[in-house]
Amino acid sequence: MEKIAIVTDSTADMSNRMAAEHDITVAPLSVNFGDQSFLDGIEISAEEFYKKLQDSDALPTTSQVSVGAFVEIYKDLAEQVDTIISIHISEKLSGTYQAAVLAAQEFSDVEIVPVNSKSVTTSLAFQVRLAAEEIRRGSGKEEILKRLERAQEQQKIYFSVRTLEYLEKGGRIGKAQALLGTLLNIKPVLTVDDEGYVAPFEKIRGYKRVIKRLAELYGEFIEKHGPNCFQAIMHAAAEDEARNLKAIIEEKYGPQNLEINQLGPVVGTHTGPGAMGLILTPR
Amino acid sequence: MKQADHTPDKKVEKLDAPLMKKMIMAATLWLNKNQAEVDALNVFPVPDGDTGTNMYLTLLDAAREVENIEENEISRILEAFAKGSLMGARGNSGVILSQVFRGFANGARNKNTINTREFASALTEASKKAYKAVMRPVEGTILTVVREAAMAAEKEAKKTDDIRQLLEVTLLQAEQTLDRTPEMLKVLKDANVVDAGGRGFCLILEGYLRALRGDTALEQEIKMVGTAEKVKQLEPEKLEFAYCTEFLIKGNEIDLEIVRKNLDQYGDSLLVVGSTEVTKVHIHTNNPGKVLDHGVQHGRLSKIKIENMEEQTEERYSAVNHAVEEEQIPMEKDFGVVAVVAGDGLGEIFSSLGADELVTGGQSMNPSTQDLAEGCEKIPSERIIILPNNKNVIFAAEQVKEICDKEVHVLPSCSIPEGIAALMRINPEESLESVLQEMNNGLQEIKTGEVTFAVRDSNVNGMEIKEGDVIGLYGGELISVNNEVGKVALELLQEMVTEDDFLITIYRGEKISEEEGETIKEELAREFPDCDLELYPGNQPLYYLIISVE
Repeated sequence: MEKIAIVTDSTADMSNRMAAEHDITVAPLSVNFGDQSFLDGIEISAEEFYKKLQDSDALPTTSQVSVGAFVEIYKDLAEQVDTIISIHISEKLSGTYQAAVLAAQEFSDVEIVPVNSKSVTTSLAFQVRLAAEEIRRGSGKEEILKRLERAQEQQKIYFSVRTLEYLEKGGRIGKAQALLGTLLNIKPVLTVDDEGYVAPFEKIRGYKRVIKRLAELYGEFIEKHGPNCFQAIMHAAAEDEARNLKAIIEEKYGPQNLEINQLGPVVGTHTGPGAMGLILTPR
Repeated sequence: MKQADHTPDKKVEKLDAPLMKKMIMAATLWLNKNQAEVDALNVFPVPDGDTGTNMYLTLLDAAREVENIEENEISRILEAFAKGSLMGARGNSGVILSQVFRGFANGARNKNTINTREFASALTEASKKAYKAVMRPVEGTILTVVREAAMAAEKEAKKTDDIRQLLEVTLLQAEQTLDRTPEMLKVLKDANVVDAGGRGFCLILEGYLRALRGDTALEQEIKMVGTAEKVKQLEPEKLEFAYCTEFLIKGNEIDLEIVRKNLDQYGDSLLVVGSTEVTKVHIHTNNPGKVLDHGVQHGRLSKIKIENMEEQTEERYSAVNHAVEEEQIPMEKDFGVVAVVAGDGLGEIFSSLGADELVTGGQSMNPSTQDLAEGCEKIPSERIIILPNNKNVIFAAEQVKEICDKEVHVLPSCSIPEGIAALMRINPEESLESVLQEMNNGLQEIKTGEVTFAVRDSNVNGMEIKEGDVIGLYGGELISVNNEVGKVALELLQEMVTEDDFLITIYRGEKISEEEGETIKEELAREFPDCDLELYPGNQPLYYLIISVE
């Protein structure tokens, strides 16, 4: 039987436990404070990152996974498997996918399929978990890729940021550029669109209404795809708000299987603290 | 001045083009003289008394249109008058007036001159047209005044062939109807006023009549209107006299005739008017110094104003040319937005939210249909959405469809917050149809409160109001009267905020400093802990605060 390994990157914000459980190899990006560089999730945890962010004057920057790092990872796996499916952060948000593509070209004795997830954070992790499920079920490469494609069509990311400043300074503002320069204190609901860009979904004024709107969007999604979805609330050092959102959702739609997780250092660098998002992917 | 072809005692059997022109000028001037009185006839004690101003400005644009044409048929004059009034229509009263003139022009179509019966039937047409233009006609307004005046005219036309006699009877009826408007409309009675639009119409009829009677004082000033208001020229003219010079002479027993004789040699467009104590001088000259020298011999000079008209013309010329240049590099947008806003702060907010063109206006300064149409023209897009942001502007905005070749949609926003809520809903990726739908939804989701001041004593909803009192309006209804802006804002919000609301936004007016605004915001934040509170400098006139709740 075809042996398949899955690789992803640290922007999937997967816990070590989850990665180990599904036998996933995670390639770390880096987050840099000044001239200090930390491997995402290995040398710096989310908690340490947000604390450091508070104490640091200059904004951190991030670095993609290098081609060399991918080559090392693929080399190790090539000895054990026939196929590597390497699922990564949207190519519109990071050069990591591109690095995976270049690294894959170095190999001829193992088939390496880099996948542009067109998403990020837990949404990327959900794709990884879907692939792992398929492998356990004995599916082949084609079936896995088909499953991922469907997930990419149906997945939704809705998120809000306390300020657009971080997205702008980090160069990840994408189509939400249009929201810059408004004099009113707009709390936009943003999304990662079909192409994998950050895009404005709705312009909303008042943070309380953002929470209400996210709860509504949750309801719309569940109504369309049924309650058996991968679902999570992600936040950047905003656990209270995340719990509040979960409470509002459950008050409206009953108890849900909603995980609450912290955005990792690399994604957090670009959203800034206070960001919160709803991640939904049908199974 | 050319001798008029009628004298005070001679009857007028038919109106011809020159006479009609003169009547129109006289009506414009007469309305101008009495504008403030009409403005004061506002029902609600908020500073929105602008009916007189709106009607005058509408008439002024119409008169300019008439002034520039040389036609011998009265129908052509009336046609130009109707067209000009539509282009210049400001406010509801202006738009209704433009419909009156349109109807009158329709009634006199293809006529070289008109007699009493034709005048009466044109007035009947005018009345019908005005009723048709209003979705829900209300009696006790200008509509009633025009209708009953037309009925009286029809009746009198059977008895007389003297248009002057006809106009006298018509005016008398109009004034009698006007006096009865408070009986027909409760809001007028409560406010103890007659209908402002109706009063404006009476003044126009009176202006007509004065022209027929040969009111010489009025004729003098007509000339002045004619020269001073000519603006629409693209080529810089070669001016014979460069300096427009104006001043007052204050003295005793000033002999106007001597002043006139002395100054006549220094230029043209000379006007010397006033009394023996205060005389106003206006002249176009190349030597303003000499003119002032002469003036000072008659008394003390005051309000001296000297302007270089060549510069003015050049500036206008280059401004127009500049606009033309800019238009040569159009970035075609799928649709554009024109918003009516007063106050630079609010203007910046609207621009930052994506309004392409701002037209200055709002309460008590309604923009004309022409202003709005110009705004539409400036946007490099064939499809335009207008945000009137005031219920009195909606009507004029609707008329833009008549004079603008672009596809124009009016989103009936009645307040600044509604306009902002609608703008927030625009998603440029969507089709225009769904954008309009979304914007309309935005209107429904916001509540507007206003804190302003009373312009006179009044009694509304059982509340005693003194001139200058701070008053709070919610959706146009009077909610609170007090002497402090903060207290009125609080009472207003207690009425407006429900448990579903999340956000209170305060746009402070030009009279409220940042500090005062912050103090009010902090007090309110304590009272409404469940809402987010935001404060922005709107710098709007008249309104201390505009408040939205959503």
